[in-house]
Amino acid sequence: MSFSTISSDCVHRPARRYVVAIIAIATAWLAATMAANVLIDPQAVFGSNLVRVHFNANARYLAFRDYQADPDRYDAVLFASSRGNAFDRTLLAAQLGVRRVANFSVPFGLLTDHLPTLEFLLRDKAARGGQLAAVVLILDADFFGKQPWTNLNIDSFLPPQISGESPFRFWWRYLTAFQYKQWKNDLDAVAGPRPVAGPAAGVTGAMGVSDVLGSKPSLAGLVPVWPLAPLGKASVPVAETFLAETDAPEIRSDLAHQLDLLARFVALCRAHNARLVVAFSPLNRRNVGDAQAPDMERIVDQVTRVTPVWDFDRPAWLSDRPDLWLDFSHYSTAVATMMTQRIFGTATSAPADFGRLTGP
Amino acid sequence: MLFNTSEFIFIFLPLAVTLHFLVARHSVVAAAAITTLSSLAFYAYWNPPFVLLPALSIGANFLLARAISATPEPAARRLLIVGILANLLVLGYFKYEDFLVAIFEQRSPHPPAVPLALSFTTFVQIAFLVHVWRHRPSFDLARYAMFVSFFPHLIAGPIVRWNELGPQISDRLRYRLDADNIALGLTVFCLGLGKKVLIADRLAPHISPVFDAAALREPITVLAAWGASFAYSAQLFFDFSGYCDMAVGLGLLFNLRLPINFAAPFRAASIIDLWRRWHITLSRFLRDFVYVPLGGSNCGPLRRSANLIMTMVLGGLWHGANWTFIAWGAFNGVLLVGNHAWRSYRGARRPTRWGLFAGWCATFTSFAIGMAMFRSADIGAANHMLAAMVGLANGPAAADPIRVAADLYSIRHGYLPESLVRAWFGVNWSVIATLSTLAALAIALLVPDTMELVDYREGEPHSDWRRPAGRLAWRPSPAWLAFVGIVFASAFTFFWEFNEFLYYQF
Repeated sequence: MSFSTISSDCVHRPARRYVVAIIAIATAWLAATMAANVLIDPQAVFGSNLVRVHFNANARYLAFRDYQADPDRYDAVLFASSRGNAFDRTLLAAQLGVRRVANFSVPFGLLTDHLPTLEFLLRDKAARGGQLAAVVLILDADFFGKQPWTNLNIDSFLPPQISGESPFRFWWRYLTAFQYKQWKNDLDAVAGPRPVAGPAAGVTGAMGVSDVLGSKPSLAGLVPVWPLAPLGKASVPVAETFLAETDAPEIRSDLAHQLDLLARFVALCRAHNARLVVAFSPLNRRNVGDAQAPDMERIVDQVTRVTPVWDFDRPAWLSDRPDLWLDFSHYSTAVATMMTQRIFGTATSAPADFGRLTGP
Repeated sequence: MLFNTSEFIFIFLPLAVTLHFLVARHSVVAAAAITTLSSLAFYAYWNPPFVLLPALSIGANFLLARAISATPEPAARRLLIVGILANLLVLGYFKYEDFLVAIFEQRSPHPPAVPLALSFTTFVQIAFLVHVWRHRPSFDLARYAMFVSFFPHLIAGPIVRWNELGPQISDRLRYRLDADNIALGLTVFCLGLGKKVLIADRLAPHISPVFDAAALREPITVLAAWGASFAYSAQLFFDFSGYCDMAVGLGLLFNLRLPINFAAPFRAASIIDLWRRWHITLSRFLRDFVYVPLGGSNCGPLRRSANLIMTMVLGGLWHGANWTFIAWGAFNGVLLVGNHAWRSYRGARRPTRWGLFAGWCATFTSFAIGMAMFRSADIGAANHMLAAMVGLANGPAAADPIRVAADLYSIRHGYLPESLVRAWFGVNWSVIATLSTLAALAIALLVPDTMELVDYREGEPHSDWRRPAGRLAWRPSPAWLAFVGIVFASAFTFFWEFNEFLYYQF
């Protein structure tokens, strides 16, 4: 007996072959997508290395993989947005008196990235019988409190060990996302030079941190050149909010939340006897104009109530020196070095008013 | 888990179907039990701890139904009332508690964190308790649990009745793979997937900016207000009817036939007809469990009108704790009353072709006005949208930047004058959005519906809405295979977007 709902003249048609063909089409499509993702590896998470340039790499995952490669050699960590890549970590380690500083400078890095990563590192260190000696946290007054990019887009998912997400979900996402544009961009880059690409010094050889900058300097180079809609639990309106907020300096819808996260961050460092250094990156006046200065001061003031912080403000002399900037948003290693020297009180070529420590 | 995700389609679904039929070789009861577990796993994927709620609810309602079944009157009736109230209490607690408290505290309610599927399973189980009280059918825990939790209808319907699904679950002959049903089921599923992913989700980004502007009381042009309301009407239709098609398709994979929930409602020429064709299983629940107990049509015209309005207000409130839903329900109740009055006035005269067209225009326009309320964030935003529809919300100031990117390319390249876009569409709506909306509505009106194409009629209250599909009628042919393959492959390219079904929030 059949329970077919097909009208009688259809019942005996080759339904079986039809079913097999549909399943075959779907499976082939999935398999092709998986193969493209593994071979081209647009987020550089599989490490296949067949294509060496990735315009949409997951810098969060890459930073984690760097750390995981030899966790015991790090006893300090740098948390920052992509601006943090300007820091000379050898100099930083010397000033901190530690062996080596792990770099967790990620595009649009905010406390929503830094706190879970710090929690993971402290757990990991404890499990290995070690300890974090120092933590450097570089904040951005122009983006603190805005909608975070964390876990919003395929290039911004934290590794499951940090986020607590199921590894299956994490890897399934990267295997099955159909991302024709990313595949094409990466393959085009292999075929020839790409006009929009920035400097080619990404994390572990992949373009993904400072390399995807440039199209939108006002975003601190933090939004990928080709943003995708969100993949996680966040829905499309969140991505819209994110994009809207990046263009509206006065909107900081996540400020209270991020201040809470900062307080927990500080408390964790204190509880684990890790030396904490917090600083605000200097801003370029062409990127953050005078009209926005009171808003920046408000943010610095709010953060100062939680922890002492070095504020490098928006010095006019610095904004007038294009040689000290990679773009309007990202300062050069020379500036980061001046910051490091000022924070640790060593000789520096910077003017005396560059950076001031303010406390609660 | 969502139907429009690769983990559902490529992992969960094949596993669930295979397990069901493998276990059914040994025991039908075990197959029902294993599919119940699959369904609960499907639910738990969203939020594992919350799976306790449907699990406990199924257990409690089963015990209650057993008690009702074994108890003579009038104690059975009292048990039934207790059961209905208990179910409504749980729903009310999760969905309306803060809304009611906010009324007393004279503040804005917080968005409630309603457990997924609660609204739907509550109605399914209330209808079941009433059915048990009236008819005393035989049932056991395995079949009842599968009836309530069966994943194709668990989250957002259709709201099934025991008399239509219970006997199918009890029928041993349905526990064998049927290639015809699988062929049809996969086709219906893919067509629903196409509706959701390729049409509804493409409209969504155009709609939000206008309703967001309404929430902020920003200027909106007349065209933008109407355009966004029509677009949202189309989005909701393709989203929810797409979901229902997928549910029907999934049911067929298990040889279970779920009732249809949509009957090309946008072709309706009266608001009465539209509500007979939109979310059919909810309409019939409200008719049987609210409208009829209130007295239904067996009373005077005034009382009948009050019953209609009250039923529609409750239907609106079912969608969520917000005054916009109440206003939307009341608005539709008034429209229905007006439609009934018009029918009484016209008597048995058949409408002319032009009369039908006028009726269709009035119906669709009224529906879109209702959608402006339905989609708005709050009652103030709804007022703003309605004001914009009649030109009372002013166009944008000349200095405002155009906020939607859709038309920027055409403006920059000189295909569209910026002044025209600003004057007619404003800064939140676009020419592209207008064209997309028109295309979606043309598909809804002119292309045969999925259920017409595949001639699926389960649970259909009447068939006068159907148009013959002719040569387009589905058959397992190479042409249909190619079409379904293209629809699936196209939808697959958008799976990474993670767009929930709109009705998940209700």
